[in-house]
Amino acid sequence: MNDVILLTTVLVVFGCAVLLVLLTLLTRVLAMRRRARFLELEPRCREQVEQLILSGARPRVTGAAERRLMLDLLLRHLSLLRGREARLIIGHLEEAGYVEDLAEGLSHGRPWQRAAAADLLGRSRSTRAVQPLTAALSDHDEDVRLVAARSLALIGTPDAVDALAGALVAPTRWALAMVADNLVLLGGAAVPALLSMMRRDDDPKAVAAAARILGEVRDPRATGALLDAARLSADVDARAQAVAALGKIGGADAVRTLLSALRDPAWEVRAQAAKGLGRLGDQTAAPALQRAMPDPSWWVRVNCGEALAQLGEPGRLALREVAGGDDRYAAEQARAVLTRLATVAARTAGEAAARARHHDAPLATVGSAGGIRVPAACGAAATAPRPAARLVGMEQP
Amino acid sequence: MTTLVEIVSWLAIAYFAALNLTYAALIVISFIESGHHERRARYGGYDVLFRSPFTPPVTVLVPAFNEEPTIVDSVRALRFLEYGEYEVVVIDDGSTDGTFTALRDAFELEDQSTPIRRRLATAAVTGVYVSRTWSGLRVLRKANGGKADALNAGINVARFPIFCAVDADAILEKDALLRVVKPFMEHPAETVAAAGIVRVLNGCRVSAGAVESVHAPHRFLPLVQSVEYLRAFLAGRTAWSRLGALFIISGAFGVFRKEAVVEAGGYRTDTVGEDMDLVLRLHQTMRWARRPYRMVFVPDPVVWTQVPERLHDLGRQRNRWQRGLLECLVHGRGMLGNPRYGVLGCLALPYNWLFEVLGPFVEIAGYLAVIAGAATGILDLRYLGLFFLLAVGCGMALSISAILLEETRLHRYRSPGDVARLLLAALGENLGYRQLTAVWRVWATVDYLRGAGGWGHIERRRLATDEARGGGLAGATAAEQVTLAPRPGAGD
Repeated sequence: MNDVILLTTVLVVFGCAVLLVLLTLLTRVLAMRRRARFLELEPRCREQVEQLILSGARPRVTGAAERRLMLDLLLRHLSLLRGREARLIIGHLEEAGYVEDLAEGLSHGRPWQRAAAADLLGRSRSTRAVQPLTAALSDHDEDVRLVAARSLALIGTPDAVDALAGALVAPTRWALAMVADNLVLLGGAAVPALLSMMRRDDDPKAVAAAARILGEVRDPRATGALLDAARLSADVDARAQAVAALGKIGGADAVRTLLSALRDPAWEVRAQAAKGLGRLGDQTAAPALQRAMPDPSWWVRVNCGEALAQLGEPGRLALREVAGGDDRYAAEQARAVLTRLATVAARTAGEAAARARHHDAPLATVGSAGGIRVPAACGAAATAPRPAARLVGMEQP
Repeated sequence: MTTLVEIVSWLAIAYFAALNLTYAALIVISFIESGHHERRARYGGYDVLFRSPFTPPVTVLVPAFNEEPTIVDSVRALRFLEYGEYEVVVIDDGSTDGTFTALRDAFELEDQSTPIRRRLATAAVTGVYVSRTWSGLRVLRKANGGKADALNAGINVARFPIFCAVDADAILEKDALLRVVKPFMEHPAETVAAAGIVRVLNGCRVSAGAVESVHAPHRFLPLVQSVEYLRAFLAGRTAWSRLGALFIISGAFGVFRKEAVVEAGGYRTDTVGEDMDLVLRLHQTMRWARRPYRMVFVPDPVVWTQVPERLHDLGRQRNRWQRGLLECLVHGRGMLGNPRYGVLGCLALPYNWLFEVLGPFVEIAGYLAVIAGAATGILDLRYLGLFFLLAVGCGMALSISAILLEETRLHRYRSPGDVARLLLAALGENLGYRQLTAVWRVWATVDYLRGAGGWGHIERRRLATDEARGGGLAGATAAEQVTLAPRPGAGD
């Protein structure tokens, strides 16, 4: 290679290295200047915001940096305020053109800029933001749509419910988490939209998502739709979510459906049914859970065992029978749950005794603690040297 | 003779140009991708995800071997992660010190006789313990089998569908789990693994098991490694992740879908590069099953880890990393150049063979040629001198780009002095340190070919409750087996 070319290349490369160093330093210097500018402007802006809240005096800002900072401070204060003070800030955001600027930003620019504008509009809680945010629900970018839906919910308009429920049509789990929060907060108001989602037989994902949120809302109006989904849906996830929701809402119909769901062909549904029955604490479910315990699925066995542990004495009796039964895997699980119950009971008894000694009161009866009777066998297990963990083989076929 | 020298010279120039153009391309991709990520993170809704019942629960696996001095603080720090539902499973891999006793006393452990679903074969588990004071903590005791075996045992007892593997001596930032799990929520059906960034703890101020303030180390070796880690993670993995060819997720901090890992056969126990091996096998499993999948690197969730401060320890660590790389590449040789594996098979793996395995040999050969040329007068020393300067310049530019990436996107080092020190390290690492690393890697390849193995031991300093600055890891020193050492990846 020609020496001149090589030398030129060396100089170019070193030039690039020097340029990169300068860029790094420049970035740092600019960041420090921004910070210094912020520290300089922040007290004045804060004082103006406080004056707005206290006396209604409109803040005056000059320059883009100050305007950005003022917007940030106004929104931060607004998030903590309600009533007259909040109305004052919202009014100023509208009058000073902040809302209009953000609405304009919502219609152009890159997706992240539109999403940021949607986020700020939601935090402004201005009703003037509803129209542009509703328009943003049809944005081609998913992030923008999600943030717009969340913002509409923050403003609290009726449109928000349909918009949020609409976001569940093709949900990623992230989308679900982002909008579900608002739907749960809306509570009863969200139920009609969610029930209409439950009727979308052509979209089992949406049904599953709606069922899951209805389970969090725990509104009895949802029971009928959830019963239908649990019994009739061809989709495993939709059935499992409906069964899980019924396990949270409860009621006689729910218990009956959960009991029959213990025989569902999908282990996910059986596992959720067992979990729900334990949560509802209906002691009549103990025999069904006992029968379901020798299940081929590890998770169903675990959930059945835990559910029986929550059903009081009938559940413990069922566990003891399973522990002495033929099915090795179910017996292992039952013994593990019984041992844990005994350990907890013994510990509670010990703590109660210690409290009693401390208060110079009569000792608690041995074998009864915190309303939990300690079975003799379990009590012995609790006091005996603790066994090493028992291992079972691969998932039962 | 002159023709031979010319041919060799042109080959060297071609190799050198390919290497640096590849690095430059990776840097450009990283800049674009990290900018995109940073902008999305502004409205990422992490506060919503934190309190949402729809955020998937995670099992945090902490394999520990002879970690008595630090284990309690590390586990205590995990209790305060900003995450909805998670459990912590510490796997005591047959420690011979007081690791288990320290845990038992600190967290009031009691035996939990529970069936274990043995989906992955492991050394014998001797006990499962639950904490009386923290229901989300379980400790598994087992016979020693190495880090991979411990992780497999942890996977067997994990209750949740996603698990996060963290080193016992590493410090996970409070929001790291939330940030690294987000890809599993955005693409729930496809995401099988996600990685966060590993950063150098040396020099930082630590309080109550959390990093209180971030500083670049003052000592040269950890400082240079800080630059290396930035380069490997920010400039390397961000780009490979964007190309869909992430070939390693550090053992110090990685999140995986449990079913996918079980399907791939779990961690392999007969390699020192179990983290890279798992990622490659996940690629293999998914491609063979023709299932759409994603493995991604997320640049902002951080785990902090100590790096060696002595040359001897560093040499052993690099030896192990290079051997691990070779083992994984040889084991996954069927993927090399295979179009079935897309960018991974046609670009990422050839890159590793060509630049990470062969690179140190070429570099050492270059230095030897300079010496030989000077001795015999065959080579034009002026030409070689310029070429050396070019190599040094390219190395500097690459490292400075990684620092610029850090400065513009993540901005963790608050003090201008820290940035200045990192820049100086980027300039200085090419004069001595880089050459030494090349020698270690060549030696590691020889070790691999000879069949020499083992994890080696490094001397690590114990973390004090309040960390002193200035490379300052105060407290007593403790020799530890390096099974849990960080691995920024095969020399990216």
